[in-house]
Amino acid sequence: MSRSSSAAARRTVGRVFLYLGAAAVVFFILSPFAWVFITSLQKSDYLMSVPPRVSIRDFNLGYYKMLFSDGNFRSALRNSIVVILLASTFAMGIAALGGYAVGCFRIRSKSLFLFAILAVQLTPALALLIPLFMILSTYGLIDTYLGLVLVFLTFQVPVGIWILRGFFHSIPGELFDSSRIDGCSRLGTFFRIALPLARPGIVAVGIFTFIQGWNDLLIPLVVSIQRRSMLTVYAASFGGLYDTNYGGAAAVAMLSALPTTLMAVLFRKQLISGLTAGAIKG
Amino acid sequence: MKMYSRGLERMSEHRFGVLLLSPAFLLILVLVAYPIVYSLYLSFSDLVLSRSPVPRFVGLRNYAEMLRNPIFLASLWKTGFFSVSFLLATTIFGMLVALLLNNNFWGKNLVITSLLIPWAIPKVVNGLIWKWIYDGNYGILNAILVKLGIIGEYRFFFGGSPLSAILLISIANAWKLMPFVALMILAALQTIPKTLYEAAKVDGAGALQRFFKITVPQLKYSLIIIFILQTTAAVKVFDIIAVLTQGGPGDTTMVTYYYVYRVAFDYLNIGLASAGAYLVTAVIVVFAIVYYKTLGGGTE
Repeated sequence: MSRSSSAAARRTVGRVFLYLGAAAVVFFILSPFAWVFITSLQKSDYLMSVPPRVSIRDFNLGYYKMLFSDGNFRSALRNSIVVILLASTFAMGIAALGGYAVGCFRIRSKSLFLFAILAVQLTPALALLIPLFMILSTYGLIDTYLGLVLVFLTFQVPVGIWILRGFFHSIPGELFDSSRIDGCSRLGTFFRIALPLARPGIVAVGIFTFIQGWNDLLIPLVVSIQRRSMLTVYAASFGGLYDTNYGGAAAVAMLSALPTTLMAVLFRKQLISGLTAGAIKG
Repeated sequence: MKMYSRGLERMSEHRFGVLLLSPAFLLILVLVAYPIVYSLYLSFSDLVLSRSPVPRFVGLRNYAEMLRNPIFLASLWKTGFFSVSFLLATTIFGMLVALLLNNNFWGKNLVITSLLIPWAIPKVVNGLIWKWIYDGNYGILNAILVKLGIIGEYRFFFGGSPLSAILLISIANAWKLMPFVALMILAALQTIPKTLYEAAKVDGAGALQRFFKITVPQLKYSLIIIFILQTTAAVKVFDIIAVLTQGGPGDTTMVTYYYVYRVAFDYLNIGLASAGAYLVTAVIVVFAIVYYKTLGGGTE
């Protein structure tokens, strides 16, 4: 009797520690983010006070209004949306074709191509961006949508093919055979059989390439100068050891983080399975 | 159109596959293979854009110059220190969080969702968040430390030794990437058969013993992959440096990747930067080989 009650007590203590630990994790993860969110809504004289002062009653959108009245911010936001949507869309298309080819067809020297794809993913972006900067300058593609989209695609398509290869490979070959026997053309088989079955994978590629592209700083920093500069570059201009526009920095941080954070929360399941797939042996 | 589609139907499986691959192949050929070869040539050339746009062949001079450059050499150990501290922080805390989440409890999904947020935000935003926390005039870290009586008055945290400055950057970076490590470890933990633990319990093994004798060996494969992914990420640290310190004050936090960027796009010394980029790539290739070997060794 006393033995079972001590076991129950121990279980209760364990539960308490579990919830305390979980609460600590959530606090540690969310508090820096929350603090910047609060900062972005503050009045400027509250930001510059020792010790820090917060008044919920005085929350206002002043810093956000300031951002939207800045032409550089508006153009950076527009460029980010245009470039990343174009790049992600093309990446999904090109990777779907490529993933279908390497996942479902017998192609000579396929392993060489797969090795090249893996090599691109391992190459540090900077090592590619230095020569790309020279090449794009030669053809007048620096600071253009075309140049940006091409460079983003260079990094996104290999990842996309790598993800989709598995999805296409898991479709049973008999499905393709029977569709061909039923008189479906090669392209028809691709569009009517393969593409719908690999849809979760293609959606995953879209999410991954969008998040990675939207968050990237180095590519727009190298490939664009002014007219086609992107949001991360604009946000980074609030960085450095001596910049003191605290409220502006907080507001631009929140706005830059919004699209990808929303996406991550909405597509939680796909992201977690995609992210962690590499960690499990098998 | 009809002729075209009949051609598609008649070609061999190999040729149709190659046709499907051609956009990706073209992209890799023109925008990866050619630039890599071109930059090898650039790394053997004297090319400073502010002086002349014409490269001049100088052999291995850029490599020799880079390997004698005190800022570059100092950047190597700074990158090393950054990588090790970042790796330790993300692995230890990632493991603790993963062990916690390996239990079932109410609200677990909320914790997992909140873990995705640091992962999803741009690294630039991570930099801005911590720049504000660390701020020397009005930062909340100063306020907390003063309140706790640890420091007497507000201070500028990046003014100290390079080690402490890099440690601060490392903590900020770990905040963003620890959740990824936790989710990876959690996924791996869930594949360990429960019977192993039950058998160990019957044999009287304590919790710590079970952790080191069962959990760690079972996680070996996943941990090695996480180490390598995190190490390559640490070697390529750029965004957070660009936002927090820009390598400063002075050259205190000048890590290798950021320095190579500066050489290329601030000093416009494309030849020297190409040599530096090749040296960084070499380090990453070494890790990639270890990765490959581990994968190969892990599948039997």
